[in-house]
Amino acid sequence: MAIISLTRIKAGLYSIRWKILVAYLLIIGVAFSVVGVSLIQLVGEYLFTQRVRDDQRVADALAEQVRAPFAALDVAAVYAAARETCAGGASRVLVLDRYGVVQVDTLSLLNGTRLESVEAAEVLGGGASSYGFYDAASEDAGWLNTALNALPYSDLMTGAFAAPIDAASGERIGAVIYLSQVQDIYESLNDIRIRILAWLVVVAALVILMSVFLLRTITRPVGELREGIAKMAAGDFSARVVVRGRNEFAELATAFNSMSERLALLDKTRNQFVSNASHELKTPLSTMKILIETILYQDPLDPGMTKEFLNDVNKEIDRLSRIVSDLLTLVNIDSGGMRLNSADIDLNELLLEQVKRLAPLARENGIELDCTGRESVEVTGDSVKLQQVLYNVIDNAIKYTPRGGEVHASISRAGRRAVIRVSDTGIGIPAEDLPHIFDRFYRVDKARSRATGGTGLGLSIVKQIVLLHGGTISAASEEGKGTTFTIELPLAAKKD
Amino acid sequence: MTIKRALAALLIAALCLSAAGCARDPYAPETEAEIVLPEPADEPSNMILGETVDAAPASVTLSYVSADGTSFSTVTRSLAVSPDENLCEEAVDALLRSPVSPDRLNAIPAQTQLLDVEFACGIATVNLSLDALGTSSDQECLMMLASIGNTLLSIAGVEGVSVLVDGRSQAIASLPPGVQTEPCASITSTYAQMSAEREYFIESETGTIERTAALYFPSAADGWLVPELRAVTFDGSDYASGLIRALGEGPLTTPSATASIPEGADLLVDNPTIAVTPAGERVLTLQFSSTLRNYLALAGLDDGLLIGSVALTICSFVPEIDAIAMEIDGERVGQCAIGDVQIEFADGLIRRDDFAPFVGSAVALYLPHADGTFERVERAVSMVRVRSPLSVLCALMDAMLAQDDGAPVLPAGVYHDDILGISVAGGIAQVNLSANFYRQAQALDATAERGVVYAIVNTLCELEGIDGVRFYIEGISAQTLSGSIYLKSVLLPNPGLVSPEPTTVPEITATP
Repeated sequence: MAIISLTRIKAGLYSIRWKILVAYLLIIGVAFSVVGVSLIQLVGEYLFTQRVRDDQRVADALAEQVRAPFAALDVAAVYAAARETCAGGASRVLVLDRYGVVQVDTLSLLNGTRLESVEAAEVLGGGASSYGFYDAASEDAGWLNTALNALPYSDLMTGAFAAPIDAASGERIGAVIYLSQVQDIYESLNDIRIRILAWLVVVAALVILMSVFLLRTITRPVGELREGIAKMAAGDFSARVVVRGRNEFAELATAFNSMSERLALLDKTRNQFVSNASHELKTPLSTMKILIETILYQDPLDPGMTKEFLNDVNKEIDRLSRIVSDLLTLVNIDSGGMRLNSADIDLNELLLEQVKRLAPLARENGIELDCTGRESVEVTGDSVKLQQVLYNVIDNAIKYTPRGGEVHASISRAGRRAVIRVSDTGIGIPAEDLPHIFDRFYRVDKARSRATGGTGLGLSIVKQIVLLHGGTISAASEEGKGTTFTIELPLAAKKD
Repeated sequence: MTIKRALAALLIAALCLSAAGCARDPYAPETEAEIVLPEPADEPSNMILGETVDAAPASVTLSYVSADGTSFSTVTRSLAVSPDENLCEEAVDALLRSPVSPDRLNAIPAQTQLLDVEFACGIATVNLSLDALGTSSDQECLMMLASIGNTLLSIAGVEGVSVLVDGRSQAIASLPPGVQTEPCASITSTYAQMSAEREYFIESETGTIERTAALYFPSAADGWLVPELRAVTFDGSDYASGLIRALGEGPLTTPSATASIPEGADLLVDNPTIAVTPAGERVLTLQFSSTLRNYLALAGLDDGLLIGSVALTICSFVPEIDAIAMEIDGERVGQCAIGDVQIEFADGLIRRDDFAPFVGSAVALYLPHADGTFERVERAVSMVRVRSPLSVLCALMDAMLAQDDGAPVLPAGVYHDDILGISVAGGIAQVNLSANFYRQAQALDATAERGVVYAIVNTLCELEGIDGVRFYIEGISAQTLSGSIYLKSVLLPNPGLVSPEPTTVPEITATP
């Protein structure tokens, strides 16, 4: 179970959902951290700068105020000024003499002691002013613990601001140390930190929630697609996915559905093709078997009838051979194995050649066959394959035109394409059959087709060859009036 | 993969920067750095012995009579007096001896001698020789009194002036002048006012007058008599009874004093009477009931303090009284005692001069307590020694030794002679303590050390002319006394030491 869980965990870690979620959280975390740190630093600098300026100003003002009385040793005046400065109650003033001895203390606790203070030493040593921040609760606060233990909330961050007291002669005679609590600044910064953290947590939670929903919109279609693909892989071509929205996943779903439909159709067509092929192959074989069994088991059989039967068997074998040949041609085309021996071809000559080949058949069927070509049309293609195309189309036209009808073949240009038209005055193709005439083994009139020796694959082969040449083929027909096949091929490149 | 690693590295770097930024606190508390404070220069030995106080100049405005005799012409002079000298005495002496001019006349008759000047608790009592009676009228007498009063009231610290001639108060317009507390601007208007008062008070049976008198009260524990100014209302010419009643109210503004007689009790058996002795002395006789004797026993006061309180008060105020005679429960008082001193009254007459040596003045002492608090108390000392830093320090030590609130702050085994000497110059008192004092002080903790040092500093800085104190041990500048207080610098007084609640005066009531 542990191994399974680990496997699942590892698998989970590779999932897009987890990766995107982690990415979101990391981005937000880094962004918040950067913003938070910058904000705290900026705000902290501002607050501390303001406080330092304000409190240093207080110390400087007091030092100026007590300068004269301190020089005159008027302690009462100095004490009164110091007390007035500390009227708020959250501060304390120490007035030191030139040796750092506390001479005035608003709390009257440190008088007579020597203040071992960095700020005092700096100012008494000649500095203009000095300040420092202390944690009065710390064991390292030293003198400050004693100095502050009488202040309200004395276990808080405290600022010590020192200002010099100079006599009128300029001689440094002492210093003022102004102690004030700066805990409010630390608390403000701490408050900002907490708020940023809180917002980070809130935003992270929202991101997680949003990610869950958002990723669901990504992973659900992916999951459905995966299920559809799995079904298709198992052979179920009816699998479809629900198309939601208009995004890329909707396009993917649409494409998948289209592919599924196509595959289903192909499968159906394949099955039909196999069925048709089996039927087409089985039919002559069955005929052959009957004829041969008749020959074998009917006693005695007239030699002339035997010869007729053998002739029929021969015809069926020929037909079978044609079917197999056509099938192989289609298979070759489908598998991409067919290679075109491309060269520039004069279509006019090619058409004329096929017309000449089929002229005897046309005469025999009492059909007028002609071809027209106004201009020279050259295409790049396989001469043999294109002959087969033209032959099959004209042959079909002749087969499906009654005696006295006409078959016309023409070649022309339309822009950068060569257009070959073969039109007849034949029986036409019903509208419902017209879309399927290029399907394999599709026959409008099975009986007629069989009688004429057709395999049902001719037009399929024609279409594939035309498509291989980059062209198109279409048919227009009116039942009872005739059909026109239009083949368009791209002109040879060098010719315009 | 490379891009992936690069992005991962960037992310880690960003996180590290953020973490570093969060961790860094630019306003973290300071860590200890080397601290070097300026050091005082080495100084040679300063073996101070005894008491040396630079004469401090004081400004006095001598008040002369103007040429028209109705107002005063003043001259400001600076007098330098040592603690042993009496500034008031020097001022009056200067007034007596100074040359005059046509627009500046001396109101004091020529040949007048200055017998003595008492100055205690802000009250100056000037005693002139009989030659001062050479004034020709009450108005001239008033001029003399006002001239002296105005002169002394110009001195800082003088709140009242009383002038006696040969120990007797002089009446003006048949009324006691009382203690002058305000400068007199115009003789004419002052005399007119007194004349009107006379008409109102003497000639009317229901009139009253108010005068400021100096009431003398015994000090609580020191055996001195300290004066206190009091406005007293008299509804008859029996000034003595009025003063007795005022004494019975006890001291109101002198914390170091205590009541001498019980309040409200009917002490006088009869109205005081004035008789003239065969020697021509005017004697006021006071007959007290036994209540007074009972009160003495209850209060634990020396009888001399009670008698002195009454004698000084009455003799300083009631005009033309040379002495008083007291009877208590019918028995004439012929002697008394203050501490170990016996006082005999010749002929049973109690004179002001009998108690003049016991007039004291209050000094402020700062007494430290074991819990680190301080108490400002007043104690009486001899008025002659009230400006002596050494005397004041001795009084402080006595008071500290007398404290009974637990462990005394004063180091054990130290006494007056451990104060080797005091020198006052330029506003700084240099106190030289003995090695014994220093040795005994090593046992003091920080609170006690602070208590001892600032008791001395605050007490000495109460004296005029002393703004700060510097300590020496056997003439050498010591770093600290016992580890906390830095002694190499002048120490200024600590105004915040004392609780703002005033010290109440103990009340003693007698059972009638």
